[in-house]
Amino acid sequence: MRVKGTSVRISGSFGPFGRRAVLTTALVGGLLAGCTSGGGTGGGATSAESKASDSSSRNLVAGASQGPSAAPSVLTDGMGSTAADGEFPRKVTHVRGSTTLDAEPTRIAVLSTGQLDDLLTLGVVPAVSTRAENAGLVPDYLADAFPADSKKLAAMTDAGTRTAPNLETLAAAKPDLILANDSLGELYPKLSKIAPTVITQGQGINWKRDLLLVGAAVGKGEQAQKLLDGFATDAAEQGKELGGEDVEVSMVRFTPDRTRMFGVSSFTGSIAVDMGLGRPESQRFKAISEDISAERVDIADGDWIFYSVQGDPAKTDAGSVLAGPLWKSLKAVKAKQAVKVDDDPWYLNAGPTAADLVVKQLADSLGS
Amino acid sequence: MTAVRVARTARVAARTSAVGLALVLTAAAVAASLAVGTRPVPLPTVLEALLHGGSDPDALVVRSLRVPRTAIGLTAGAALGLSGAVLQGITRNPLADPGILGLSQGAAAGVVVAIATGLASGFGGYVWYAFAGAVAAACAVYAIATRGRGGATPVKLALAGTAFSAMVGGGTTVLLTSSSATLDQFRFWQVGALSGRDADTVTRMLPFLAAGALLVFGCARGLDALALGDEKARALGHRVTAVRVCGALGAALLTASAVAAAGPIAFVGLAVPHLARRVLSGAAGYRWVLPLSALLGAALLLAADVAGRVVRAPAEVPAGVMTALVGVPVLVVLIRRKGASS
Repeated sequence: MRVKGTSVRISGSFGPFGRRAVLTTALVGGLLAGCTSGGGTGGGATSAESKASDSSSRNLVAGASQGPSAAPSVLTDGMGSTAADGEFPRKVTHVRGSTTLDAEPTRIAVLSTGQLDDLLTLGVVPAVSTRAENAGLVPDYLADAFPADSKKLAAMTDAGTRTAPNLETLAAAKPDLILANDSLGELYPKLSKIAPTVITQGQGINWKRDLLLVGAAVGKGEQAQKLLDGFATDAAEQGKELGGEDVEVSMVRFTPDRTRMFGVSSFTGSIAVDMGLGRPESQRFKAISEDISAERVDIADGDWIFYSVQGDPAKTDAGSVLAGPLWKSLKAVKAKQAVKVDDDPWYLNAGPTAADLVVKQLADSLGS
Repeated sequence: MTAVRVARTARVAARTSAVGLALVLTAAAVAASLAVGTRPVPLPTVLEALLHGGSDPDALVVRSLRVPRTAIGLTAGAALGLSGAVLQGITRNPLADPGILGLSQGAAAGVVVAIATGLASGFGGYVWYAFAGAVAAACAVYAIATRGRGGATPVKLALAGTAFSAMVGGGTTVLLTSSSATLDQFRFWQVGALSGRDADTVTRMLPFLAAGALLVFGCARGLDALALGDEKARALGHRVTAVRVCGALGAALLTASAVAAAGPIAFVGLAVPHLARRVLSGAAGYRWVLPLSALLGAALLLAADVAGRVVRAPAEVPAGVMTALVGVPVLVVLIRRKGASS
């Protein structure tokens, strides 16, 4: 017995459309599925980075094919405020326009990364904050650094995630100043209707400028400048003691779905610049970061490796890389000079307290 | 009479050569998967590393990273190809595949439950939850589609599967957003990648693959008969329900093992059986379509994985994203060529 026609027959049930139409539909569906399934993996916080880098694996500073070679330490001309510290009303010029503040703000809402760090370091506790994707409202390093503020921090209103803040919650909290960075710039008109809004530049490399602008908004611009001057002196001194250019410091971050090494135009990269420390050949590029695969993790070798892992390393890609023979064959790992660092201050939040922590950890490790 | 025999011999020869071609393709994909990547390793070095080991970075990469991921690609690809072929057979539906019928999403939901409850981790734990999810999804979709007039027509099955997938997907997302630790682990697993999986995943996968393949090949003749319609199949002496249950269980086992190992990978199960039928001349039976689907599935998934390593080097694009991008052009060319000649 020979069974004929095992290929599927559907002409009866699909009428005039026929088989090719059905297949075409399936194909288009398949293609779409392929495209969309890729979209969800990057995580919202990095969408701006990945947009800028669709032709390579490098994540660029927004709006520039080459990032700065050090963190800019003065505001762009005309930005900020001319008023002396504590003087109100004041006009603050920022990335999306200028905003007038009639009185010293007492209920501040911070929407973007680094701004909570900025305010706490300047001695102000905000009333509303947002959280990073998969993270708590107050990063551990800030809770540890400001124990006296713990009650006020616990009382902050949670306004959702940094990438998609909940505007209803924000409005209900009745802030008198909203701080956000330019990744939320599109929301500026809506935010301004809720409360006076100041938009900072954002991205780790701009952490000094952002601190100055946040300072200008809350009437503490001069204090912010003093903080930065102190930081610069301290970082340069410590760096010189630790060996300067002769020590090559590698910076790697593992997140659940990708591995990155950080370049010169990143927050931690700029701190190495401020300290005058050397970087491995592979990390001297002027961009935020570059994605690398598990097979190429050896190009991130250096005298020291400072790596962080977001989430539980045992349950993500990081676990298999860190346990793999290639990682274990690295110069720094063999010399026990691969240091696991806290993801929050090193690679997620860019502010003065985080910067101090990075300097301290670099100094403690390299100086030991 | 002799003319018929000659024709039959010629057809068998053509089909044997089709299987031979698929074997060559798969072997080429394996070689590429071992040699090509964000770190290019020449084939002689690959052989050297495989035979003699060594501790230079290239050898370490080949042995500790490329060999496991190639093995996972082979097994998961074969499982998805087989599963798609048998699903298209038992539902008599060219649109059937583990994704469209909801099996993948069901298996994925099973894995999420495993992660969220902390009851299981790694392939050995995931696979049981994935299997339970896939079986539950198959039952639910079939139950929905058979209601009403006309029974489980292809369109109703596809619709029920798509609707069920969307619903389960929504539930999965709710579960994920309520726990960030789960989300981390899931995000890593759900991209549909072959890299970074435990090295012993493949050995753990083999029993499931073997059991699934046994079930599927066992009902190959029944699938041939089903293609003629339920009544004719019954008249030919086949137990229609038994064939369907056996095929569906096999498909669920195969899908669950592939999903638990590599995450949800779309398109392979849909496209590969069509490719296989196009390559085989005439109306070939399932005893040809099934092995060819397994081979082509493995080759397609490996090719997609290799392509994902080069498009964004030194970073990688997961295989699950690349399968459709790599597979669709091939399928389109084949359909157009055959369509024009027939």
